[in-house]
Amino acid sequence: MASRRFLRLTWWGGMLLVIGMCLAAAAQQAAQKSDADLAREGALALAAAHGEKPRYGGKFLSVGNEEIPTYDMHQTSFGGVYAATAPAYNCLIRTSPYDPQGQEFIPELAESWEVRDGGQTIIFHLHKGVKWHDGMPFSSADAQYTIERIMNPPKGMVSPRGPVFSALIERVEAPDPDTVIVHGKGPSSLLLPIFANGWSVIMPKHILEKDPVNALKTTVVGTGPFKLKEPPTSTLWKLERNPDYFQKGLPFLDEIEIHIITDPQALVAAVLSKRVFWTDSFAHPNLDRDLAKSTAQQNPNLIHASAPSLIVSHFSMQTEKPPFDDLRVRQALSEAIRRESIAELGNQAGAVGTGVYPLGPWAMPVEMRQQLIGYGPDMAKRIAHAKELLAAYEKEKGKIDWSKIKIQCSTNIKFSCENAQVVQQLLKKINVNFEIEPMLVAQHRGNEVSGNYILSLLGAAVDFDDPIDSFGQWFVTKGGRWYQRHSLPDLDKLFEQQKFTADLAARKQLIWDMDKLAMNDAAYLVLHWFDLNHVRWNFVKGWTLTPNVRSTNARMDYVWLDLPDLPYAR
Amino acid sequence: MQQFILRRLLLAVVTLIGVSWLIFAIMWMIPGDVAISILGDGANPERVAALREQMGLNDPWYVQYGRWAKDIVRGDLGTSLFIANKPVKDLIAEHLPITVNLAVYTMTVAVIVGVTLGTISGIWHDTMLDYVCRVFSVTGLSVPVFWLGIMLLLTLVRVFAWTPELVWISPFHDFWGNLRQMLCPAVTLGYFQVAFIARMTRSSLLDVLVEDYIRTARAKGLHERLIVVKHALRNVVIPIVTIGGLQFVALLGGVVVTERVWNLKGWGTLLVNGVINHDYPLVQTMIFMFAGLVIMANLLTDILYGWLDPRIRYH
Repeated sequence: MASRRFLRLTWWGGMLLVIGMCLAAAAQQAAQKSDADLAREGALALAAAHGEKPRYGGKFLSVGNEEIPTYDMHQTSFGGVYAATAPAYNCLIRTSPYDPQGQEFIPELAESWEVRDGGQTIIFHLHKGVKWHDGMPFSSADAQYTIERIMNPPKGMVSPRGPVFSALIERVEAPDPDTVIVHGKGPSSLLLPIFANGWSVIMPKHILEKDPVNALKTTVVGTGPFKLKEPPTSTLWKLERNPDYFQKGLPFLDEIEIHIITDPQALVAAVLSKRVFWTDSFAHPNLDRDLAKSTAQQNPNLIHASAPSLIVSHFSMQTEKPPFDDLRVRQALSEAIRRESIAELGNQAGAVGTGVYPLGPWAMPVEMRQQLIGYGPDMAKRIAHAKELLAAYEKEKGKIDWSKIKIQCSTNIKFSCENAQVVQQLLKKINVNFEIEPMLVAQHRGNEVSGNYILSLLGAAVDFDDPIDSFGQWFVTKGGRWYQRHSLPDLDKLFEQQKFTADLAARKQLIWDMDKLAMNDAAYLVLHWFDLNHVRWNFVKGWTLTPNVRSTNARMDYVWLDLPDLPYAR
Repeated sequence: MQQFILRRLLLAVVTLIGVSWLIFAIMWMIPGDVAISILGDGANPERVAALREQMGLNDPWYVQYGRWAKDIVRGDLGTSLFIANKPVKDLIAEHLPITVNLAVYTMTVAVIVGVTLGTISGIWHDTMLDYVCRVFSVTGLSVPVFWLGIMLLLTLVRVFAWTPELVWISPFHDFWGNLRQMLCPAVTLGYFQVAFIARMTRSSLLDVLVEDYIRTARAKGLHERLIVVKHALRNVVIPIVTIGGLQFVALLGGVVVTERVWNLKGWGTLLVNGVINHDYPLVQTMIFMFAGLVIMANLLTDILYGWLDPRIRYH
């Protein structure tokens, strides 16, 4: 009798154990699902996997930090435009709203995608039944038209991301309404990420065809989770939920109001009084470390987040003008500037790095970096070297009159003149004393573009953590922001070589070789990759700060408000 | 009187043409480029050149000026180069009411408080009350407007966790809401004006109170309150009207700092952003309109003199 009971108990125990193990395995399998798979299951599944149970509804009070000169995202690099219009559009794919690195892709207009030919061809399979805000159907023709418009902008249109697109893409095909095929010029690890960048939104062909340059400069028609509630003013954008949005369960919010507040103090006051819920839908350089910290300290329910961004504070030397046409002078200045001091003495923290993002996959190892001019660990040795270099130059070409040399900075870009002051002090250690020449950024940037400067301290952002973007902009001869105007033919060759090198290790080596050349040339100094700061109330959920400020998180579809009066279902 | 007004109006046209030339020349001389402002950190020589060509900025200066002048004569205020190709008239219609609203409240605060303080100071001059009023006035003149604004804002945030509404509320839509929104900025700006008007009132009142007609009124046995309010203050008002009129126009010209601190998107903010972004048509039209306002305000002040003081006649 006892043995039967024992057997029965053992059987039931065994069954429970098996069921428990099965459940655990299923849970583990669910936990191992990628964000892309979870997103395909639905927004709630993705949110739940990241420990969130979203509430529906509510009006989100947001901020835009910059003015909005145009509504057409493809014709500008303005963050203000990005923040205001991103909720109305979609990309083919996007970054996961829960990935702090902004590198995990999830579906957006493309339900799925295939990377073929070692990264040279991408096939996007589009969502069916997607409609534009004006009711017209979306199709692959819109995606094809958009990509071609970015690559080959019509006359009269400026396409800031055109060079990267046309450097990578050979042609685009739309074989049927639900498929887009992108043929690259070669295998590139950047070919897929460019479509997950927040700027790469798909625009309506039927509207742009009528006037390719101006049609979307003053209106917004997207497929996105929010649409314009009323025509925007220069101070306020009102967006409302798109009831026909194709993504199941999204967006969580009912409305968004974006207030344009350009003054950091006014912005902080608005956050503290809950007139707005955060400091922007992306982090903005005007909110520096000190201001963000002091704001968050005012209330325990405020969250301060910061992340090193894809923005550098640069110190550029015009190499067409003496004495900066001489390598020794440039290297001397580079050696004397201790990069860590920029963060320590200024208001903006940041990561020391070279021409590639120091926290990304292409970053140069620290040991290798320390061998470069301007990055050695022994400051005394560097200062001595700098003095030697200057002495050698002056012996050969005569004394440099530093009093005639000025460093230009922008008064309306907060970090610019602050960092110029830090650099000014650091260079005094090698007896280099120059004056600061403050001016408005429109003049300053114009001077950088035209070469009408000797020394310049400003910043530059890139959209992709890839040397194709950063080196293509800053160091390659006649690149987009080749302010130093110093050609390095070897670097140009390496740049072309690495662009379509499929082997990651080999490409990394090429990139580092290229980086060494740029850093040792010391014409365009990367002072640091600075941290961006963000402050938000703790009831704001479903949003993560990423290094790329133009990640797709400004879409706002996953953002929700954890307020008790809002329901868990719509 | 009619001849006087006609002469002044003709002079106004000449002045406005001169102003338009001057502003055009200044905007041309300011270094920088609206194309670079639009492109931001994505600017490079090719993109700047393409955008300049698209916006017609490569045309000779006289073509650009002619284009603007022709539009103005036809009543078309032009289009902003920087802000999403918006018509300047729409931008002005959006921003000007905010500044007019602020200026009206500021002058109301300034005149009510300033005249009251100045009168108290004048009547009880060289007493403790006078000293208190004068210290208050001098403080108003000494405290920078931006500091006062920030302090007031921080106090509101820290003590009440409250700041005024971010979107301007029209007084015709919700008067109390508008008052709640504009009172603090008006006090910020008004304190300086209070000080100015109080000092002006005090010194004018002291001059008037020793005049013969006041002595006569006192000899007739009139009540002191009646003497001050009916006889003295009427004469004191003339310099206040002069100052007040000019201060009001100055306020319309741009109270940029106060607008920035209180996040009011008024005329001043629009103008300064226009200058920063080198938005030539916007700035040119705004200053042209402002010059017109100044001329009109001066004319109205002159006409008001005649109404307040019948001894003043125009020839």
